[in-house]
Amino acid sequence: MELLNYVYPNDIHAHWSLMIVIYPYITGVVAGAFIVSALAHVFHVKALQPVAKFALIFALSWALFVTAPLLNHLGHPERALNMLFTPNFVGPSMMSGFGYIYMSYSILLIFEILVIYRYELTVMKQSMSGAKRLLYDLLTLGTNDATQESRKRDHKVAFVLAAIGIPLACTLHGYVGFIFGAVKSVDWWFTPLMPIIFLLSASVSGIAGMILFYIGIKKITGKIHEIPTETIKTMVQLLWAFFIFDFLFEMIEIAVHAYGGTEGWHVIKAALSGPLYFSFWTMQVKILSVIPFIALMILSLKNVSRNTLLLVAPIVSFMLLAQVLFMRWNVVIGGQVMAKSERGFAVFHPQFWEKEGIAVTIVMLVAPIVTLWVLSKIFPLWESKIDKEF
Amino acid sequence: MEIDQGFIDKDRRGFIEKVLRGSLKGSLLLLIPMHSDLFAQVLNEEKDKIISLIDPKDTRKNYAFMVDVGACIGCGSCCVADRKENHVPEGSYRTWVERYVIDIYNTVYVDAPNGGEDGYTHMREDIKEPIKNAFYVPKLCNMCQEPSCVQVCPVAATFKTPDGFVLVDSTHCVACGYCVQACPYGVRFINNETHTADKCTWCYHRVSKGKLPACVNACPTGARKFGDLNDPNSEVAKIYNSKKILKVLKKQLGNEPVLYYLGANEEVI
Amino acid sequence: MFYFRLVLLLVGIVILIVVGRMIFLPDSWGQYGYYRGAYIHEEAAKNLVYGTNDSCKECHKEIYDLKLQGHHQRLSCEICHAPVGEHAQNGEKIADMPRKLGEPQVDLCLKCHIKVEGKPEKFPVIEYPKHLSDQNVKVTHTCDQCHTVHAPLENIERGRTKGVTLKMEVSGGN
Repeated sequence: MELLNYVYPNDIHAHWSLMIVIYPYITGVVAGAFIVSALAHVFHVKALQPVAKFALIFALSWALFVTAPLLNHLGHPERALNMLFTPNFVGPSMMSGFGYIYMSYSILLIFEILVIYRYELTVMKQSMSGAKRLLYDLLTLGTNDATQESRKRDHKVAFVLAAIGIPLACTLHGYVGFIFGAVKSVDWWFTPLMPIIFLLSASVSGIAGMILFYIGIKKITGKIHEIPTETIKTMVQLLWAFFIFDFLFEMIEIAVHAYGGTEGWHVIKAALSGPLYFSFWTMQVKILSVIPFIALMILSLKNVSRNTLLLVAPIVSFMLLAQVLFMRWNVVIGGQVMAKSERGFAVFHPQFWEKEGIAVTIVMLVAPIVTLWVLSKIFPLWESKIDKEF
Repeated sequence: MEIDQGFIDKDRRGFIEKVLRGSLKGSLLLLIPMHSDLFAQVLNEEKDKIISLIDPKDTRKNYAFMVDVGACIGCGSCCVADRKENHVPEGSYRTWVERYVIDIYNTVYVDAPNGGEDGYTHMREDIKEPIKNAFYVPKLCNMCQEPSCVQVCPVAATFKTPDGFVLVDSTHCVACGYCVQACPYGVRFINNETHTADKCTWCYHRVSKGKLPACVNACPTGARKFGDLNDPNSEVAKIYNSKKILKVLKKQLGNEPVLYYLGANEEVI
Repeated sequence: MFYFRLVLLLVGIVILIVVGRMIFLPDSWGQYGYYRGAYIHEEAAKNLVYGTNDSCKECHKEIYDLKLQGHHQRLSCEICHAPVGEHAQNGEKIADMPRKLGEPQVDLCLKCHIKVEGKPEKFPVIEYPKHLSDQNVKVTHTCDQCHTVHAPLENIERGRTKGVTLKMEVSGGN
């Protein structure tokens, strides 16, 4: 295979770049974090209440950057709204759903945040003036209702919104998986498992991201003692549960391909033992899946001390965040590397300084974190006294 | 094509009208003879007229493209012509010619340096074993009846015309690149000058004026054939209706290409 | 009040999209199908660069007729010269065709006629420069010293090759 190496002349270089790698990554974090907040708001999981609000703001901080890599990738970003004005529902193009699905989800997420924070912001703004007061007036839509009845209504609406949000978040990310899973010309993508794997890995990255940032922020602000052990423990168990299925399906996909042994598998096999060996087997599977899997199992099942939990959980979470990033890389870049000529591999060498290069990628992955910091100045991230007294 | 030049020059407008009303049998082919002094003039002065003459809903013709693999000499003239005719930027290919070399152990070697555009003038020197078969395979848009690219385009910038051509509206395309991924034949690329998706159109601008695609016109051996399957006298129809074995590429994907290969080996993908 | 305004916000967004679509939907959208119909006409109206051999006939009838008699009758003039669109516009010559004599001319011939793997059996190929020594002529000779490019076997069939070769040699070749 390596010897022959013929690739169609238009496909020599992978066209979908790092931007398309991080786009499903960012979407995944959004969807995953939302699931945590939904568990708290819809299913009333008590242990998750302390991070219920944080989950929403965390999701928002990433949701604001979903379109950034896409717009940077488009040859004509100024025509991006064509997605909304002339969506190809006739094809039907899965991608044409992006505009409406992403928009609906963003609106829902923002509305959910406005509803959940309404009372708290209304109370807070009473002691404010000037620009800050204006901002809070805007966020409460200029209303000043601080009655207990209004809070009850808020809770009901938040419940409904979160309930709608669960399938919507699943759609948002499931459809990203569909974008790849429905491309018949690329064997590595063409599997009905793809949307499911994307959904599960999204949950994994979202929960892992929350654990990492929850503990990280508390540690930096010196308030680590405020973290309830039960909350971290529940999140770790949740992470493990999602990761079991995520990893299982990832491996099933390979196993079915290999067992089927079709023409397509020969291409996949060659790539997995060639250009993708390191990023798939070494990183995604061996280092970043097996080790966290065992670590999570111990953390979930054994009675480990609080200190161990608070030390190991963020490390494992970081590894899983990396695992999902590698998985996205292996899907997006891998699918293009396995050339359609079935006789060789395309190449992809991202440069540091280029339009869709490594530097821009780093900026786009750091931007949500900065945004989270900005948002934390406006929205109280943690469960407050006001929440508890209700 | 025999055309009474004087007649056209004297009364071109009347002639056009006759064709339009159908009193003159034939197609637009008659209208624009490929003749140096009419050649570009028609386009510049009567552009609007021509635009109004072209009826995409006219499905009386059933165009097909055929590649006779046994006739291709790998000279690359088609690729040169295509690049100039369609202003294709260097490094991208609307059409290309692959060289297949099969040794006695059935190892298949394929290459297409610069898309075969420079012509194959050197033997492959990296093949140690004796060669049992070698041939050239021109590639271009398969003009699928079930085009993946049209299906996946999120903004409906690429579409199939009623007369069966898959085109890309370069003023509407956002260049997301999904069609590039979805095309099983690798014929799509992002044009780095227009920053939109681009591909072979079977020279729609020529065909709609009754001319052959530039690559077919350039082919010295008749390896590229283009014509109307509904016209029993056309070369493609004769081949199509004969016992000759035709093959389409990647049939199992169900795209139903209208690009047929005559005499192509199994090895051709 | 809060929820009334929230719903108002939602309605505003929907209106924005509906109005945006009304403004930005291209005129001919849906004319032939779910796409901008006018593009078909725009594509069809694109200028041609290449013509056909008939494009060359008017001014170069002699060569046109000569070509019709020889083995190169099916060859497009423009693959060796250049597209007619770069040579003539509106019936006026706008630029010279690139002259292809000497080495470039040999390259042009060899592009098709050099022996490499994969040429069809009946297609005439030569090994270069072995062909020249086989024919007992100088290896510096160009193809057109024996073969008229527009009718490659014309001189050879008429037995005029030698004369042509010698004549060219005396005058120092090309």
